[in-house]
Amino acid sequence: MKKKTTGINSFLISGAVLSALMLGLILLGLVWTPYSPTAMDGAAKFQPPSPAHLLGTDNFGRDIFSRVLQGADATFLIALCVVAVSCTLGVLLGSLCGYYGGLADLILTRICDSITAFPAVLLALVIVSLTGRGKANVIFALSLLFIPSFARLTRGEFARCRELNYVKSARLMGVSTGRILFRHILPNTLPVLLPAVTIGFNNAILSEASMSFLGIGVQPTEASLGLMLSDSQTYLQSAPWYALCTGGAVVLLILGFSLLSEGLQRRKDG
Amino acid sequence: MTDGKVLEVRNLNAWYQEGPALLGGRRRRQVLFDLSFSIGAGEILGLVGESGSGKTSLSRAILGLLPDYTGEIVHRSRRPQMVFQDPYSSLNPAHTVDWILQEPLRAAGMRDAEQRRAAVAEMLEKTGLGPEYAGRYPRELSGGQRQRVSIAAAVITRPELVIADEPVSALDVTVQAQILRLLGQLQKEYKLSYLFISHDLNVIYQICSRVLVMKEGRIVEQGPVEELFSRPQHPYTRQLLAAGA
Repeated sequence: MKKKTTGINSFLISGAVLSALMLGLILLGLVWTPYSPTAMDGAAKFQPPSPAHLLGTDNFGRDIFSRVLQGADATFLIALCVVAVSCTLGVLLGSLCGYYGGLADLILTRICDSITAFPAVLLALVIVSLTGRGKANVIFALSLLFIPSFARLTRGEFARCRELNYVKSARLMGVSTGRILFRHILPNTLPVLLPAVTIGFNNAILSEASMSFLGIGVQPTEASLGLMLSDSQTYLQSAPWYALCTGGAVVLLILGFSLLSEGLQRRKDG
Repeated sequence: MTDGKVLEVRNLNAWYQEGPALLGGRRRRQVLFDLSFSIGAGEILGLVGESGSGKTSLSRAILGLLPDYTGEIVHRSRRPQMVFQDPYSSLNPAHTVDWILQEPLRAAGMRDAEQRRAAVAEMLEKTGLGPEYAGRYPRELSGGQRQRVSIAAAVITRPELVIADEPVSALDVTVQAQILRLLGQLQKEYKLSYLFISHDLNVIYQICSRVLVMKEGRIVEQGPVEELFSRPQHPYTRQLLAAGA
């Protein structure tokens, strides 16, 4: 009940540092890359990492560091959109269901359960094959699939808080329902919601990478970490740094947010 | 006692719905039986009874939270407020004392932030907390301090009627006495009426002027505190007194 942060939360700090570092690189990639990510150089194919090409070059002689920066941008932006859309809608649905309960709650909860019963990437494949490929459709499909996780969590929290005395008093005071939901209850769900957002973000990065890897996400000419991983596996023997560096970028990105989420959770538990 | 009444209840019967909401499997269970009483302006009416006697159901009915009832509940007060037993769940942990105390004023339509802050400062002083508590969070307060904040939040809009549901039961005895004194002071100062619910006859004796004794959803006895304590009529009242002594 009484929470006091004692000592240093090493998860939170290392996660924040790593995430900030990756975020810095992503922002850098938006404005500057050492080489053009699409510039091909026939003379410099499959070069191992060197001072000139920090992470080496790929099968077209393109600078892998530049492409990782750009690919991380694409992946990150997609994940950001997915989390923003699914979290907003999930919280909205979950809060209404949790607060009001009743038949609508029952039906929506069952729908969420049935969506969760399928592997996310599989359902995303189905949706994208119906709507067509491309970034926007990937965002649409993943957002839809990520709604249940946020909705379920929020629903539980709101159903718990609904019966607490401070919510009852707010009702007695005549506070409007919207204000009760978002000013009285929502701030109290943040300790649970924030770790879920970071986990959701990681899942979105992985799902996007998986979909691009399978060729239904970001389309060639653009870079994406998943797409690059897919390309690199052909050259695993001859140019292992290609796969290692691209994979490493995914790992670091996710590790940073996982640590952050773990740190947030530990802070909540005290 | 003044002749005005803040609440009048006549022949109140109330039911709870039980069973699953779907499939029409609901049954009614009567929890309140033919209750009639009133609370005068500036009066502290005690409500005693063991748990399950219908005390909380009655307060819910008064607040309009029991839709299934017959009889009359006539309010002469705007928005009765409530002080709860558990001081830990009655304050929103995400907000400061200042925000918590301003909220009832905002809900009542007081737009001017200066005015709200002045009212909060006054309430903090009246409840014996002092201005330094404005920026604190509930988790930084003791049970007694939390209960002071809860009382301040209930009283800040000057409701005519405050329902206090076991407001001191969760506190230790010395803090109990302080909170009871505070409730008494505020009642005199702002001419409040209380419906004071408790299972503890000592507490009722200290603060109330009149008492209702409830058992199994019925009022078995009501009267002025002194009379009821010295000459209990109903065997159940005698039993309660014997147990409390």
